[in-house]
Amino acid sequence: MTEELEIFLEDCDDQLQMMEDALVDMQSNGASESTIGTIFRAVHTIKGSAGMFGFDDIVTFAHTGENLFDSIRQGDVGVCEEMISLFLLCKDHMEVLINLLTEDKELSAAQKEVGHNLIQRLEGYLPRAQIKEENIEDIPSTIVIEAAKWHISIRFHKDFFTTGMSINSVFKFFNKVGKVLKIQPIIYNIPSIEDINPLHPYIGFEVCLLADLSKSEVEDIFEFIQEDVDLYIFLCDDSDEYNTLVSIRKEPELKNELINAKFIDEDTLIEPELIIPTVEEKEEIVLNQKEEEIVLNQKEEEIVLNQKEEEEEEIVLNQKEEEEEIVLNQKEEEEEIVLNQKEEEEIVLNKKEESSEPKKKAVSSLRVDSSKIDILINYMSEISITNSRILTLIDDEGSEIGETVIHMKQLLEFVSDGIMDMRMVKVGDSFNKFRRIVSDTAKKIGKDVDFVISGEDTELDKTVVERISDPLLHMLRNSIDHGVELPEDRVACGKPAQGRVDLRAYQDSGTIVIEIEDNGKGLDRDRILAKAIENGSVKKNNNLSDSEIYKLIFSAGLSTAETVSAISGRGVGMDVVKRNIEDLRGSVEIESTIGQGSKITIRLPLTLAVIDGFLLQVGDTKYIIPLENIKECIELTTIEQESLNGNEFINVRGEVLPLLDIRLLLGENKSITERQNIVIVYFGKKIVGLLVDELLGEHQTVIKSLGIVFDQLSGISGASVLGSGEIALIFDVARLIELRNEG
Amino acid sequence: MELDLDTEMNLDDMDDDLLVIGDSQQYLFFILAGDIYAIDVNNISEMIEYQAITKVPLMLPYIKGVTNVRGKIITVLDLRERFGLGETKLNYKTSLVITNNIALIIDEVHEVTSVEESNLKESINFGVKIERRFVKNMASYNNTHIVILDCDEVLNIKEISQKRASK
Repeated sequence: MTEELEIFLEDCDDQLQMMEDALVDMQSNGASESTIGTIFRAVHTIKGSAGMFGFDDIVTFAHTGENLFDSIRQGDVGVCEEMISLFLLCKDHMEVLINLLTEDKELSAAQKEVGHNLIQRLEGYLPRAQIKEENIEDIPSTIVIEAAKWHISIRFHKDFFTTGMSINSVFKFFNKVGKVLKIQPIIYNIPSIEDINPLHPYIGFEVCLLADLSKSEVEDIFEFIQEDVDLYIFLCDDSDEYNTLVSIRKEPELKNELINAKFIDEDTLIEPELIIPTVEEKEEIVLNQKEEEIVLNQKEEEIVLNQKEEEEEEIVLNQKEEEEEIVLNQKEEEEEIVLNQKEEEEIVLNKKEESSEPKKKAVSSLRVDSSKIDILINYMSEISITNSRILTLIDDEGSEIGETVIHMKQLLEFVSDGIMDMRMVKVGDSFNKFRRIVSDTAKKIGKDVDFVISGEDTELDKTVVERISDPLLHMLRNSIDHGVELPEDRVACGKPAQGRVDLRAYQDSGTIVIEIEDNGKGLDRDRILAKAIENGSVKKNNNLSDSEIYKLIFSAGLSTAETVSAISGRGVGMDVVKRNIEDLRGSVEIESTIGQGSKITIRLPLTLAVIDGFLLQVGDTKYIIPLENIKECIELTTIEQESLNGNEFINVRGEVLPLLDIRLLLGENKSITERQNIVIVYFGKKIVGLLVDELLGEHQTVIKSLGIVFDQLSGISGASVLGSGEIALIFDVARLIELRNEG
Repeated sequence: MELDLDTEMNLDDMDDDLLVIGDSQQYLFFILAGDIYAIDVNNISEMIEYQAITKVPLMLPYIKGVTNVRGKIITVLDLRERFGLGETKLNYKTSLVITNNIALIIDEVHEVTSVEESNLKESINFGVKIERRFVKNMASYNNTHIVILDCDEVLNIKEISQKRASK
């Protein structure tokens, strides 16, 4: 895939997401100007970029959508519930079309059919007028007139010169095809000398050309530059057209210029305000009025800004006056003020364009392939390791070199913190994607669910966000399918008919907590237990605690749903969910009260790549415990050791903690030191004391995979290369605690 | 001078030919517990001197642990123990042969040379000290038969990733 195509696909993803967000918003809050605008822009952007790549399927499809949204934007068509569902389907179809590109596949017949249907349904909403109008536009105006007098009004876009064309060559061409009868340069757009950009053509022309050409042939003169100029061409005899010209140019001075240059008599020109728009223009004017309304709305916000600008402009205005006096010799002050006002309007208009852009774009951002950041992180860690190696080689921290290396170490930490920060994204975007799925799911099974998201601003490593997304979705579906009851059942239980599912994210002591809570019927402890005994995963006479029983839903092949629905109940999934979370060094817990609902709590590390760890030794091997999991370290005296012998618990200041002898767990034989230590670790609410040999101190470390050979090794989540080049293994505290509790 | 240049160029060409022109393939011959074994060089990413290894607990005895090769973490497997020929006794000739992110401990590198396909034979049952499944085929080499190892079987992930049976 080419880089451009990748960018296109990524952009499409964003646009589709924006579209969906806006549509879902519309569903719950009704259509607003901003949501309609967002959707229109998204469709338009996709259409535009798809056109650049020549993806005709997408262009055709998007075009219909764009037309309809244009009409909606102009108020010609209202939005109803049905339409929103239709748009959601269209959005899905658009996604299909775009995904096909990724897979480099052709559109299947069924997909074509879907697209065709959607287009027809979309067109059903289009006002008839617009369809007709398009047809009119298609008819080319090819009335041939001999030696006609053409009025050509031309304004050059500001980057005209960058196209390599010159104004001179335009006039040369005029002379080639006919005879220039009259010419009036339009110079009132030239700014004062301070503001002038020599690369911009501020000048414009009103030309009367006698030529043996039809209108389209005159237009052909400008074929190569038509993108870079504003043209208005009409027959000189048509005085109405002059009125139109004055009105579309929006240049108050133009009228006088035209009269002075004797293009037309004063009498034939009506005041611009009184011009009755021709049928063709009606639409444009409706649009303009709309724009003005928006401008008015925004003007209030801009007032403060504008006042400042007014002050500045006054200065500019004065300078302008002086200059224009030189150039033109006669300029009425009145007109200057009008000009000034017009400029102001333009500024406001520009502002409007800026501010109507989606808010996300306000922060300038750079799109970087996340694998590039991963590479950077990898190199950063290598540099840090090499740097610590230098320090060990110097063996004299007090020397000047030593100090420099230590300084270097600090700087490197800043850099790596900065790089790590780049990986952090807000969970909100990914959470909002669930809205639609939740509402679709609920609708499908006839449940009424209020889906509440909080903590969208919580930041999490991008990889974690990506990998947690599917498990979360699965659990949300479970909550809706198994948790929340049908409206009538809820009412029967004395609960409000509408159920509620909460999705929350927050930071808690070095971990990110994600909670899914519903106020449904809760987990049925006895049924889970019965099911587990039935399929043999639990013995009959067990002594399981409630939370242990709830955890059984994460084991494979256990589903208490009596019927298998399209959404859940197959008993696969929750085990995958648990594994996914554990792969991220996270944990998952369930609380539940019958009749009141359940809460699933997921704890995840802030980031996957780097941890602040505590280095220690057990047997011959060095280990790292993530600092965020450590509560405290206790040194054991020999006497204490003896009293501890064989004991599985330890008394720390009156608190009895379960103890895990790491040496025993790892099958190490003898302690290498006399002194032993206890590291008290916690994960979530669980605390365990780990009996280890030696404590070696803090260590910031990059987590690396141990390799597939060690996949089944539980309790160790990865490895890290130390400054000496040695490798230390990283403990997975959540798993260690589980191992201790399993005995 | 011209002649010299020509020969150099020819040598370059020949090197390529050795790898490309079929019927012959390069093998690493190495010594393990006093016998010579061979591995197809296409399986090997590099060979290094033996270096410090970090023990990883709870694994099968022949999984010695991990080692750091230029920042990369590589699993180390004692080939002698894998074949049931006893643990490798380290000396200055002990080397690591890295294949597929796993380093094999061998006693000594013998040589890298090419073997013509006509010199390859089906595995034979007698005189081979290791399990038959590890043998891909045999090569005639200096008038003896040398075992060419089946790397896929030697590094069978399912098998070597098992945990040590608890005592």
